[in-house]
Amino acid sequence: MSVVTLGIGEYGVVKNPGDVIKTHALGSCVAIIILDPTTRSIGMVHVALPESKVHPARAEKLPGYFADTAVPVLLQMMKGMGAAGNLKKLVVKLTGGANVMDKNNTFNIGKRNALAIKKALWQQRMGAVAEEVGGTISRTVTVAVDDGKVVVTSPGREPLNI
Amino acid sequence: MAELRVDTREILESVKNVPALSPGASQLLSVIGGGDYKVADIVRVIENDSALTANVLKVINSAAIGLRREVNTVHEAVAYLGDTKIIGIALASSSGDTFNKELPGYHGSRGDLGRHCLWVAIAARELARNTDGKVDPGIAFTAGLLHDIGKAVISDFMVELVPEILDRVGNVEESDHLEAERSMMGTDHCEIGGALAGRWQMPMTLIEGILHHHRPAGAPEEVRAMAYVIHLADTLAMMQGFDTGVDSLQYTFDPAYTDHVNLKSQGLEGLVLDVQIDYRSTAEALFGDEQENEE
Repeated sequence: MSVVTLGIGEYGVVKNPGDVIKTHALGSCVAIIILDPTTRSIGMVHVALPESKVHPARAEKLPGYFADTAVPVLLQMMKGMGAAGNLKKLVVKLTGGANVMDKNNTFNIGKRNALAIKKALWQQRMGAVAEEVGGTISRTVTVAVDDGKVVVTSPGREPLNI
Repeated sequence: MAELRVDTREILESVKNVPALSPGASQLLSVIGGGDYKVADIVRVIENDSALTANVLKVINSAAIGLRREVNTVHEAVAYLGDTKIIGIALASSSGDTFNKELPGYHGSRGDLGRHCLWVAIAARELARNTDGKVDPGIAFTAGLLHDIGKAVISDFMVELVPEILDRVGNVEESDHLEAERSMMGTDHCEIGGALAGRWQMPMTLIEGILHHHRPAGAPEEVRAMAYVIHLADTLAMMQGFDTGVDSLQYTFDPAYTDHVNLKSQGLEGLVLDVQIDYRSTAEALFGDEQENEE
């Protein structure tokens, strides 16, 4: 039984009963969560920026940092956990991607992160079945192997299952 | 406007209970805040403060910095670390528990304030380098380190008010978290931070930076560019998850930073990444090998 806490740009997977995987304070970052109902393993990555072209060398060292490199590396990891034959059965969920309080919407890193992830998923012929993104709230997401529930918490709000 | 829920005078009075900075740290801030300083000035201030010297040498010789041989002089340490990291060491080691305090009024954990301020400081320094010389990177770094120091004081008075503040901001009864602080306590963390900085006898430039970091348009003209730099750095830190608790992203953003900082969107993302890389190594050297963002 272990609790895996991911920092920015990190990815990980859990599969044993009692295991939990989580990431804190997403801000404009987006967490991609992949659940594999067949192997009962759960993968997650904490994506900070949309495109790896900002810093290709960094992307090699920390592929989870960028949406376009995070999706392939997370899928690769899920395949390593035994998902190779059932990619279509994988359940993908997204959360995070918050914005700042700005009516001009100057910064859209949160929105661009979510869009870049969707594009990268689409290239793998996949899509997210649930998402809790946008707004001006910073989120923390926790997933337990025991029930597979993706629980999103934010200051001053009731926890939300997505 | 909500009824005042806390005696404002009591908050102002409590600023006096915050321990003073060490004389060395105070002097360092005043040298840097005055602008136009040389490395030799910084070395001299540190060498005159034995505790500060010991801390600087401890950090430079730590595993996180990874030098192959021992450094024994302040001069050499400053050359390796650069002036901004020295400021970080001076403040972290001489402000007692102020930066490490839990912030119950923001639901911030122990260490959140120090991590947030360090991220903002590094971002402010990098942004200042894109202001065509209008903002000194050393001053921006220092103002960034100090910008939220008022939270260490005001937080204790807000514990009971958290749900109401969040509701009022959420229901748009208040324009943002700062307005809510003001209307319920008669003051806010910027004003209290300014009062504390005044008590610590900081240069006016740093005090103005603290006072105006959420409302940079209202800063006096001579420090307005710096106020925008801190404002933008603070916003980027919250977007990257380096926040101090429930107030994350709950502040109105002023996009007029573009009048002072010359960055395109792509440049901004590159800058965020550079800041993150620098933050990791600096945080390890200053705070030890703790997990970033740990709660």
